[in-house]
Amino acid sequence: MNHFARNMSLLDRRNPQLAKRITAAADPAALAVESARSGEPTARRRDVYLHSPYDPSREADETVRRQAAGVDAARPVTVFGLGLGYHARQLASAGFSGTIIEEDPAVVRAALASLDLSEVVERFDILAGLPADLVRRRHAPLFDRPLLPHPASLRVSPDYLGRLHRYAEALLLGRRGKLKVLVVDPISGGSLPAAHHCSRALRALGHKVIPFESERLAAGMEFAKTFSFRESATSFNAGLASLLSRGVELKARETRPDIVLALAQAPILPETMAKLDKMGIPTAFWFVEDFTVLPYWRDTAPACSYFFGIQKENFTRQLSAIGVTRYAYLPTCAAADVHRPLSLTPGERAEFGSPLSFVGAGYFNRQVFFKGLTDYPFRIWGSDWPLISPLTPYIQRHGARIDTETCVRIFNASAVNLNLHSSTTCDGVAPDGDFVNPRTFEIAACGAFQLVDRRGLLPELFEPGELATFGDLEELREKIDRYLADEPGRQALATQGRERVLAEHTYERRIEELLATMVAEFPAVAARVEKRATYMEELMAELDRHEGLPELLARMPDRRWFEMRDAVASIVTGKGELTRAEKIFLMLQNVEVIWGATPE
Amino acid sequence: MKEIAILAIARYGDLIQLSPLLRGLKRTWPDARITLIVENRFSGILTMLPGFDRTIVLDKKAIAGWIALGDTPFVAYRQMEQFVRELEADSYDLLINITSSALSAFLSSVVRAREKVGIVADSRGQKEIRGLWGLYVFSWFNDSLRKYNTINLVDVFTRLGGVRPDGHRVELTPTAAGESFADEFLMRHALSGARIVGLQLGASEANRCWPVENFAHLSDRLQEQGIRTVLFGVAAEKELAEKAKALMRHPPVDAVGETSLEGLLSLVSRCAAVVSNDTGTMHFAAASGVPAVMLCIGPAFFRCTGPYGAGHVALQPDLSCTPCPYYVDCSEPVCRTAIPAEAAVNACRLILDGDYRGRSADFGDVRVYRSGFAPDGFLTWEGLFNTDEAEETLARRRERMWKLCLDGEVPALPEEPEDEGVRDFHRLMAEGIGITGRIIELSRIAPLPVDQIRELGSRESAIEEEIKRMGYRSGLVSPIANFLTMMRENIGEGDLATVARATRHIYETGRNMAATL
Repeated sequence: MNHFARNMSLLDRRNPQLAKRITAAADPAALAVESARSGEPTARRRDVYLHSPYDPSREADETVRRQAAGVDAARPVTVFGLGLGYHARQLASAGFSGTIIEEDPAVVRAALASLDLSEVVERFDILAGLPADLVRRRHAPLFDRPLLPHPASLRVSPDYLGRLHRYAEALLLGRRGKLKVLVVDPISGGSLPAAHHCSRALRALGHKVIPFESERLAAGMEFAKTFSFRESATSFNAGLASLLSRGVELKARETRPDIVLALAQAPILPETMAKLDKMGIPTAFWFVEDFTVLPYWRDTAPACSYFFGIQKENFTRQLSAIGVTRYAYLPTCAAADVHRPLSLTPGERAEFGSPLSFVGAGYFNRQVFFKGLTDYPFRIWGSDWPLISPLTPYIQRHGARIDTETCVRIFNASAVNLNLHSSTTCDGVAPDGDFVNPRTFEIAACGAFQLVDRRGLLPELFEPGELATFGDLEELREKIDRYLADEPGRQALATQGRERVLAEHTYERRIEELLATMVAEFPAVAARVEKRATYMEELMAELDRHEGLPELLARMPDRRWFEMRDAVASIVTGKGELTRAEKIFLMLQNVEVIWGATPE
Repeated sequence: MKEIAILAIARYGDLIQLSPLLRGLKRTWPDARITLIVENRFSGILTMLPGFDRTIVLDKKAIAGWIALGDTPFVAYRQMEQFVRELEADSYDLLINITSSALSAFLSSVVRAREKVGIVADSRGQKEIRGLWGLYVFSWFNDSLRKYNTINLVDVFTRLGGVRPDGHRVELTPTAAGESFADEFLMRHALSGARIVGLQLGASEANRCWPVENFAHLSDRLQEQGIRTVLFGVAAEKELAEKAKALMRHPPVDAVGETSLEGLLSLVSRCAAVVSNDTGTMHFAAASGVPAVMLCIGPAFFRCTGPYGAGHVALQPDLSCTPCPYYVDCSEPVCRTAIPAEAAVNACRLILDGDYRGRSADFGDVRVYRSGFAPDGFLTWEGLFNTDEAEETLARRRERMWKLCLDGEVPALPEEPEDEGVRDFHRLMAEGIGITGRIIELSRIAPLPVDQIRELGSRESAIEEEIKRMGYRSGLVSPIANFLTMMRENIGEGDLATVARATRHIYETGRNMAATL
């Protein structure tokens, strides 16, 4: 039996799906397997050797000895790159186990054909050919392990393995919780709660949030409504956005964040992002919008430092066409502390509950589609529904806007929550709808049951058995009937769905991913954060040396990120003896800080 | 060996103004080791300042930067803590804090010294001012009452340090580098052997600058008399210089932005006179023995911070609001244009032209003063033109009063003050002495006669209030009333008798002042 047959038979036992993919994988066209001086097989991709052309085993031995020094073999490790598997074989024989990430299943095939990797197959899982974003999200726990890169694999796969490895290191740095992030809120609209959720998640992860609360100027947008002509209001609002954008610059100058995070609709103009870039502060823009509906990404994406969106291939192509390559898919998610299971009173169930509910705005496709559900006990909550239509009897609170907390109650109280992604063009389920709306995650986070229209990106986010989906009215009606009669079935799906959201689709996870991407892509940010983290950890370690400082810090709500004013406010003069630390803070309070100390 | 520390987190001007204090300390304790605690932004001048032995330097600008931009207050904390360590490293016999800021009070509090004068924060963070001369500065420094001050800060610093003014100017020692720069500069601009007047156009704030048009006129008039003019200033004042030059018919020599501190001192020392706003350049002139014409604009006040030495001329606009307090952000700075250019031309003639006697009309409405040293070694100013005799007399009376009372050299006192304007005040002081004396007596009785003491306390409080009211009503009384209020605020905690004795001391001081005024 040759190596390939032996290895594959083992793999088939351990991971039949992968075995199938490997079998189906074509030979790696650009990978040349040839003989090394030692007589063992080696491989190269174009000019880059994956293993030594002289003695691959010896090279692997040295690499593993260097990398594995101080790593506990009992802990699973994550290996970046398989190559022909020399280093993996070395690791396996040293008692290590874990997961190997490889970009190209054909490389795995070549490895399995070249060496006896039975011990590797026994001790390691292999992730081959998965989209990078899926690895980051679905397999995030892999990055908590010791990271062992195969240097040559990183060289031949810089955009996949190289990036993933940098990402993994950045994720670890981010988890030290030492980033300063200026969060630019939109003035109003659907992204505003998302911005607030991001800020909360950042804080929960230990980072410092510098809020830029554009919503404080929401009155300006209200004022714009007093103009008679739409053109006047538009022009006024543009001025307001420009003013706020200047404010972002000033705030950044005063506070020197590591990065600026702007949510869709945030008032940050391209020229401001250019200035921030000059200041060494990259801007992450999270475009939580459908790019086919709102075109302003054409101005924003090229101007920001890194663009995040909720759509994949189609959008990536469009962005590439205008020269934007710094783009990452970052789907929407839920705030698990807000969207949560509630135990409701019978009164609340009566007020908010229904066998079939929908919460959302009255987009065209919903207006059309929901007419086919009017024979159900159906409640529709939300705004922008036509005043006179066959749906009128079902619309709650005369079409008033529904606040978040009420949404949570409705989701919890309803047997079936309908979730139909909006569309202004089709009259039901959008046939080519790709992104997944926040509602999907929010209903699931509540532990509530939903029927959601099928979306192109949904299968990557939820596994079968975690959500119930439909493709048209007929299927929807069939499932409504089925699940209304099957409470345990609803409950099982809701429970699985919630677990998936808590594990992978919370704001905390998204923010971790966004920050790790930024830290990985901007070495200056990484250096700054590393320096700060080390500095603060050193100072914490020497606290005993500073008389009165531990006591003063104990009074701070968050000792990691307290401000000078917090420290000073906690000091009472004229009562008892001041500690040395208190005196020093009072000295600092009296050092005049001038504008010139905040260089542009 | 006596260890003396001087806390001077201050600008160039203040550091130059320290020199007579340093001189006095070395004269009194020749083997004293003097440590200067200074800010590094202004420490460049120390190479020229004689009379100290070592420095401890605060990088205040860096700390301000860390406060503004530091990732965490820890960064600034660590920097300041390092500096505090340096302050704590030695112990001193005497600490003289010439700085009036809250920062200096806390810095002073960590210095180990047997005696401290100036502002100090106590162990609870309460600020107290030690030394009557220290109290004196604080009684007017940030107040509209500053205009009543008659004693130059240099003399105040000197007395705060416990030494006597010696009737000599501030001093800086030129360096070889500065001298060679000046030689080369004069050569390069064909100024060797010429009579030069230096013009300092800028000041710390735009509202404190005499208009460039006036400087242009002054420069042209001087040049027409065969005097060469040189413009001084830092690089940031280049634009101002260009504006002035554009208005001049006869081009001056432009040294703006070209001089180091050392070069500036040496260049200034080659001038026959310097005309300046209230700036470091003016103090450089004083330190070089070069007569200066001080243009008193905004808060600039010759009696307070005028050039320290004999023979300087001060031009003070005759406006009721000048000098204004430092904190005023004036929307209509009429004082900027109140000194006519021709007045400065004539002020220069007073210095340069031995035959020129001058007339009031030569100076418009501007008051003209000339500095000199009094027999006791303090700086004093003589009114030359457009001054009010009664005001000048009052200034001299105040000068005498403060010197006598703050130094505790009060002569035999008359029953009643000669000046009717302070008789009521004097009576109030006597009443205060009586009441506090009675409280001291009662404090010795056991059990304490609480009701009686309370009644006396109420009467004493009423006197305190009346002192303040008198101060608000009368310009004659206000500096004294403010000083006494400052003394009262400075009384620390203590038992009844201690507080009563301290309060009686306030009334005694007030009585002495009213009587000697």
